[in-house]
Amino acid sequence: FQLFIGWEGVGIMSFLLIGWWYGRTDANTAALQAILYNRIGDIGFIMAMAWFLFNTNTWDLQQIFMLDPNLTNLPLLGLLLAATGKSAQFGLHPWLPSAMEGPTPVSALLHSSTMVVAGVFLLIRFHPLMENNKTIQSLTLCLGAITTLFTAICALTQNDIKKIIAFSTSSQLGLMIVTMGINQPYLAFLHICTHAFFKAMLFMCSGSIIHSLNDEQDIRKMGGLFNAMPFTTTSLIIGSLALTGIPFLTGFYSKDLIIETANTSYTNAWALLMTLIATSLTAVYSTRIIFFALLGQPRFLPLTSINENSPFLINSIKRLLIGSIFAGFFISN
Amino acid sequence: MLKIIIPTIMLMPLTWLSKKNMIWINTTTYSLLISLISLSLLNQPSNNSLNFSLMFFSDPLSAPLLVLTTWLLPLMLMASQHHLSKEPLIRKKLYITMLTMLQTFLIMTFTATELISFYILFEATLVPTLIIITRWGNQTERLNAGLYFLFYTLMGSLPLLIALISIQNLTGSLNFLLIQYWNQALPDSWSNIFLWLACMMAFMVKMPLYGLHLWLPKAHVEAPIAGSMVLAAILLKLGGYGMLRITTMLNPQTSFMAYPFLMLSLWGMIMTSSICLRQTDLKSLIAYSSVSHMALVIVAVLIQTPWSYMGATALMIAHGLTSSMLFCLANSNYERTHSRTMILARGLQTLLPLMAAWWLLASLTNLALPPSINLIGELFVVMSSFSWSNITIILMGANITITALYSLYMLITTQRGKYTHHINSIKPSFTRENALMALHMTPLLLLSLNPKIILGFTY
Repeated sequence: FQLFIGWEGVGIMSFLLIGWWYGRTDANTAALQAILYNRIGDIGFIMAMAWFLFNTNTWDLQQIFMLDPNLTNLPLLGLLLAATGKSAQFGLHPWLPSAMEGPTPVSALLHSSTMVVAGVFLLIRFHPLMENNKTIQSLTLCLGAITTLFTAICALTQNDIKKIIAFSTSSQLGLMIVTMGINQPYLAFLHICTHAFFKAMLFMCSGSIIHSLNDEQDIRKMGGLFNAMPFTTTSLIIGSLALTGIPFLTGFYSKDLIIETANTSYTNAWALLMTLIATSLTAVYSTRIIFFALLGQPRFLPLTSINENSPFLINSIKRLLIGSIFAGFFISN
Repeated sequence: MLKIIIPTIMLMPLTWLSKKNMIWINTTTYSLLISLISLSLLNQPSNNSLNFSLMFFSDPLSAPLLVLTTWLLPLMLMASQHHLSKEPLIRKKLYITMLTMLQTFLIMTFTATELISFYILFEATLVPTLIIITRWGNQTERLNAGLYFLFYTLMGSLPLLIALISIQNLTGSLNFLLIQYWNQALPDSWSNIFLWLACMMAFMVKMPLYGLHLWLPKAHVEAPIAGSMVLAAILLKLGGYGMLRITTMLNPQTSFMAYPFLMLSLWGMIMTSSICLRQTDLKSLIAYSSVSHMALVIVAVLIQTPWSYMGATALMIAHGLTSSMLFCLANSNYERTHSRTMILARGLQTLLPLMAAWWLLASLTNLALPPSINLIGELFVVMSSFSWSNITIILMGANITITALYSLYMLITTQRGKYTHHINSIKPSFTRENALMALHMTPLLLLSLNPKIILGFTY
């Protein structure tokens, strides 16, 4: 029950924060859209709660795991639906790109690191039940794989920097769901933690770029920031490298382990193939961001006040940067 | 119980004898004090009812409803101050007298022991409400609304009279306490089927059930603010309360007689929620949302499990407070723009941020956000309907989604977006209005901390 309180609470906070600039109509419709998709997921949650109440007489996780009910198809489907809604998996995904109407720190916090992983977290919490149910595991696997591939392809064609990063989040979430599908809750949790670092940093960097270019979000109008904003450039490159899983940065410790486990486990070959393609696409769209935003000749208006003077912004990016490089090492040793 | 009824009756001489500038202050203060007395009834030591006399009693089901009724009277008086400010003194006193009379009848209804006295008072509550709607309503349609209201309810409740008289003949007494012990299963025959229908139809119309709900949008929309508040908060709950009392006598036929009503309620829930999405009239939206929430209560009462009764009572109290608050908010809009159309008063968050905060809280509780008691009520009802039949969860789930959508739609349309250019001459929020919202919201929030009180007698 407490989970549900937090679950709903996060949904409403998402609504309020996406609609922060409430004068914009787009922001309001995006907020409403977020609530709609979240609510549909919540129906799944409530269905799972109802089933648990009447078959195990409790909402307490310890008791549910002790009783270990058979025939857990229905509640696990409900939980999967809830995770789909909250974590923007394939059926219920459009709200995440639209949620980019909110301010960038909101996107950095909610929609990259903490809130969207609530769905994955739910599945992790219930993993003892999922271990025994092969059908649900295959379903999770395929859902995650489709999500990863679909959103990675979408990210290739986007022109708004925040939307690319949003789709990238969605793709990584799909990866986490795939990890759940191959019965590795601990790896999924590790990926949640490490992904939080570099994704939040990517969002903050993009926020810094957008702010200094005077609210310009289209990457076709950026360029040549390599020399103008060195610190942001560094962190953006390191973040993207961590995202793609370059050895010895943070992403490596979780992402590579996931890929290795998926390769060596007895699993659905099609899902595996889709995940591998999606992972390579991660590298593609990350490079696209770097190419358009940082390299080449400036394509923005000449009279902008590009600076990196705000200490708040720089300090936060600095801390996330250190995290992105070292956290993976520290967590897994 | 007389401690509450006699002061309420005495409020009437109080209004007639007060000086001109003291009527509002006197009545509001004293009705607030009366509500504090009724709070002491909530302390129920055991599961049996607290008996006060041969005629009045209170048990864990009626006590929360009683407290809600007495709490609402000062709020109704506060809300009516503005639109009555231009009337001559005698009419103001008449209005307050009507409200007080309604209040007395309601208190007596909720605490009645005999079912016949319950019936008489049930019908008696119609008269002041009719007078309030048709005399002080705002548009010409109020006459039509009063007509619909009166005749729908009467048509439904006359069979109830006949049924109660026949039951009195059969079992010798309609005293509610005794019925618990004399209860026999009704044999299955045609006349008993009609008996069941006769008993239930009155409450179905009052609730209202989806097919018989036409009076509700009219009555709610045309009534003045105090009328809307009391209608939404209390009078609908009379139906629920009556159903909860009568179904104990009507077994075992309820198991098969309830099916058509369950289907109507489940479907009606979704239909009325969907209508809310396309409304342009703010009060009409809130009225349809009332129908939707009450349909949940009907489902809960007809399923007859302990959890569903808990959910029904919690939902009744929660919905009473929330709907009343939404009507007050709609009225604050109406007083400023003199129109109920939603889009005429948009973008209010920029101008009246505190009022926007109240709007937000009211919408959030309307869509049943945890841990508010609205959620507890809805959750219990959904759980019990899941146990009754697994498939109902789909309909319930759809209803929850659509409820969230229209609540937030209402919020966004009135608060967000760019404000209109003619809105810069509205008056800022009065302290009275802010106090009104706060007094609605505080019980709601406090009850989330301890919902045991309102969970009724099956806790």
